[in-house]
Amino acid sequence: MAHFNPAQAKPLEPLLDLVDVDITRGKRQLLCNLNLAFNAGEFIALAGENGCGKSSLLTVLGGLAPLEKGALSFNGQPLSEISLQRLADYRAVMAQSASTPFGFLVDEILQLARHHIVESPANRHHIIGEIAEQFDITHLLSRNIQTLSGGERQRVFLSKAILQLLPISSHDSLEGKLLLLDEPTSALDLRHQKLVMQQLVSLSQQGLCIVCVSHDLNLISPYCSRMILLAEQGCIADDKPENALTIDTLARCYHTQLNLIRNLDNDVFVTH
Amino acid sequence: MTAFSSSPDAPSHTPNNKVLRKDVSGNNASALMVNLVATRAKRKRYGLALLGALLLVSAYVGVVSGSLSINVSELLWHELSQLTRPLFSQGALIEEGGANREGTFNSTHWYVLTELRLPRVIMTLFIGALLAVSGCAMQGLVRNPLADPGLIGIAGGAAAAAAVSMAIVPPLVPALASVWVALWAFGGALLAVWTVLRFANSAQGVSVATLILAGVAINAFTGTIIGAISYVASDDALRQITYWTMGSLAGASWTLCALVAAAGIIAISGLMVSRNALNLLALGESEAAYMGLNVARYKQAILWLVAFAVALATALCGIIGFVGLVVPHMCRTLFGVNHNVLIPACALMGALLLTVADTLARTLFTPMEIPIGIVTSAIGAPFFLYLLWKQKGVFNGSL
Amino acid sequence: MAKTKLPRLASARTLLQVLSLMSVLWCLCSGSVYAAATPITPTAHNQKQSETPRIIAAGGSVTEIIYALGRGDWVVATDSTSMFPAAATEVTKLGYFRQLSTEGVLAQQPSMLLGASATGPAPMLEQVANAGVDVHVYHVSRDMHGLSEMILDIGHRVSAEDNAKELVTDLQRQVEAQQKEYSEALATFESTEYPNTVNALFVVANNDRGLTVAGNDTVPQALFDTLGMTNIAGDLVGYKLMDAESVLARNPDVVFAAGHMLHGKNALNSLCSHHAIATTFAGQHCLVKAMDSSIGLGLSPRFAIALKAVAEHGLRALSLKAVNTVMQESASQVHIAQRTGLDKNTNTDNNSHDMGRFE
Repeated sequence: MAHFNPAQAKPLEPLLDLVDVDITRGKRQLLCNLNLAFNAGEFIALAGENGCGKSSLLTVLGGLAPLEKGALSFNGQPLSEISLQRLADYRAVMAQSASTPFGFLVDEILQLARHHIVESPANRHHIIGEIAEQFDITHLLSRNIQTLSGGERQRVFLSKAILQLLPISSHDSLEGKLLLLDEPTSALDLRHQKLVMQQLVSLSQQGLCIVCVSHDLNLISPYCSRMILLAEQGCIADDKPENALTIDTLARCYHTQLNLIRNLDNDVFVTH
Repeated sequence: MTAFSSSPDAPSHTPNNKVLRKDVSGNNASALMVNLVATRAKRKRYGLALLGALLLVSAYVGVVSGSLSINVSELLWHELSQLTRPLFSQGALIEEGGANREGTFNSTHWYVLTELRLPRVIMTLFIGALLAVSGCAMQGLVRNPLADPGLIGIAGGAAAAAAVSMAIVPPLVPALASVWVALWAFGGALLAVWTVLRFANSAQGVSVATLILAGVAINAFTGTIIGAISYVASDDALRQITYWTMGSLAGASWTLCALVAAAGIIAISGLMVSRNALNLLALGESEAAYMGLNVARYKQAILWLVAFAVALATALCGIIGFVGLVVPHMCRTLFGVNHNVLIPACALMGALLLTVADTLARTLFTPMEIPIGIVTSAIGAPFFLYLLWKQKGVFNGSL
Repeated sequence: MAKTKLPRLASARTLLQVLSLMSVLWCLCSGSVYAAATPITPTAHNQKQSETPRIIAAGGSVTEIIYALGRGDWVVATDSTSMFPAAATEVTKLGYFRQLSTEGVLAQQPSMLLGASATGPAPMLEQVANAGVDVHVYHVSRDMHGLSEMILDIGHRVSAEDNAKELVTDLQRQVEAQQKEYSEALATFESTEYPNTVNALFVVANNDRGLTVAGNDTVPQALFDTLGMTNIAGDLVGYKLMDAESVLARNPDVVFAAGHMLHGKNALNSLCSHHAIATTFAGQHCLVKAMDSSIGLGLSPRFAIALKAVAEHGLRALSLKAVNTVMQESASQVHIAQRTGLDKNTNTDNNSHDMGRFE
């Protein structure tokens, strides 16, 4: 595997660059000739109807699915040439659901996220503690993961994904790192939805590139910096949410007539 | 972590203001973390120490128990005095004492102690540890707490090959006559695992579901072979096969003990090194891959390590069941599911359990010996049912 | 990739502790390993013990021979199948002769272990031999020749050579007498209408698998050979399953059943009506005889007694054949005579112990 050093990457180059990428599942082609570029510091939402290829795209971006056609580069280097071990330092994924056949404790799971980072125990506990407070799971740290509700589990796995990327020192930025999320808020209540979104925005402001697949457009559009709509085997909108979401694009995306409400701050909300 | 913490009087949130309202730095949570980790470390230390102590006690009981009643301390004292004899200048004094002792010293007792019991107890320790750790690793690998190395056909393959060697193929090389059956059993076990892996392996790595199903098929196939052989075998060979499948530790000698110890040390240390990998795998293979684990390599390595270890144990001692299934379960209940503490705990508890079982096998119906496989099943099966009863409802939906 | 130091150290320490404990144990015993590695010679071993040899006999035939040679008081323990003579039943039992435990054997402080073939397990024999015990397992042919060989060798080992020679001579004389008696009786049945060879079958087990019968290389085969009877299972080797069709096709004249497999009063009758036997000559006339397993399956000095029982039964069959060709009605009378004769020979007490006496 080629030695991957993000320091060598030019700052203006996109973090993740897709060139003429095809996404297939089995024999079906979901997306053709996709050309996208993700940069550091962006909070990108991926939306589209069921089965349009969002999750498959995320798996490809994560580096676990091989690419049939096209080129995918991470910080200038082809993704397939980076070893999974090194990639884990720069890229974390939160899947839609995670099975837990064994009853690990939450704090054990969070500690596992940082297994590949060499640091002192004190630092590790401090970092994990910080994240636990931020995502409101402090009271869950000593609990068995199998006994948690869906929303609590989601927060735990989200924290785990973020913990994988956080640097040892708080002074280091998160630039050059990528967080891929697949429906991270689907089971959360309103308070926690807001909490999670605010934290994600804060992280992106420190340089983290976040790509988040979400069905809940109204939840994510006030927070994300960029919205990509996938439909018709390609990308039909790639812009700031207030521009990307139009009745036309929504109709092409979801094959149904939807209404838009625009408020004074130019936030856009979708209704039936 | 200055990146996150800000002054307590940060602006409150408005829809347009995307700046975070932050709490005080995470002191409470990290203190909690430290506490949790410390408690766990303490529990691990004391728990393992307790297991170790129990293990020593059971090993001692194993060495002093048997059909022959032996005064161990007297024997050891005699031997010690023999060894230190040259150190004393006053030969006459010692001669006298030695003569007295000679009368009570029995070379048969010494032989039984050092050539029979001691190697047997040590071998039992290693085999128990080996089987338990392999069972634990297997369960972590297939992410199912009911898994057992027998799933992938090891026991079936070993038994079928052993049956063939006992009933059909007599020792072709005279020099190998004493290890003939063991060699065949070892080869058979590995062949079964190799076959199962051929089916389960693909470009995407080892598929756990296919592994289990292929294992079921292989077990059925080897069962057929054993059945067929039982049918055509001579009465003599049939009995041999039956006794072999029940398992026995009676053939223990120092050579065998050394072999088992070597295999045990390699297997157990190999699996100790993979503890973290097992933890990661427990969350799911794609999760583990995302977190940086070379999943394919570790799966293969763990599988083959388990296969070799259990194949060797089965080849040398027959089929000893339930240790790989019950011990990890007991340890999970006592120590939690983290493999960092689970693997060493399984090693110690497996050794403990098998030593106790073997001592019972040797002393319950003196002068006869019950095959060890029967004792482990007799203890293991009801205990397992008891565990399941206590945990009724826990497995719903998580398998 | 390295992880935090703390958990790793703790576990490595435990491992080290366990390993060092193991090596300490190992060192403690290493001295004795080299000392005890060389097998203790029997003479050194016996120095400390009484002059009388202590014998462990494994296998009913070996036990019987030792007692027959007058050395029964030297026997300190036997296996569970040794139930003849009566004195042998009172001696300590060590378990099944194929699965003896080393310590159980050594606990008797034996000077000698004599066993029938299949005494085992093999590691046990090696360990007992290494402990300084004189171990000898007999692998002899299952006939008079083998029996004589075994008697003479045992006689040599227990210092009763003269008794042994006498026993062998006696045995040979008895067998020859039986043979003569039988062939003389056989001559009276010569006829052109039916052959005067008897087809015999020895059944040792009857279960849902089928009938297990004695083939070649077994004591029943020797019994039949000595008298000139034909073993219809003679092409099988050892004890094997024989399917019903083969039995019916070969039409045995007489059937013998091992005593240990017969449970209850109607066992013999049920064998007569067994689907494999019912329509054969033996089945039609219920010529099924129970044989004491210890002499029917094992090489015993009472070989001549077994021979006599077999001879009688064979002659009964022949006389039936003679009667059959003359009168059908007298067959039922012979039936009743047979049944009363059968009870005399069945020895149910010893039967359960004879299970597994296949040597």
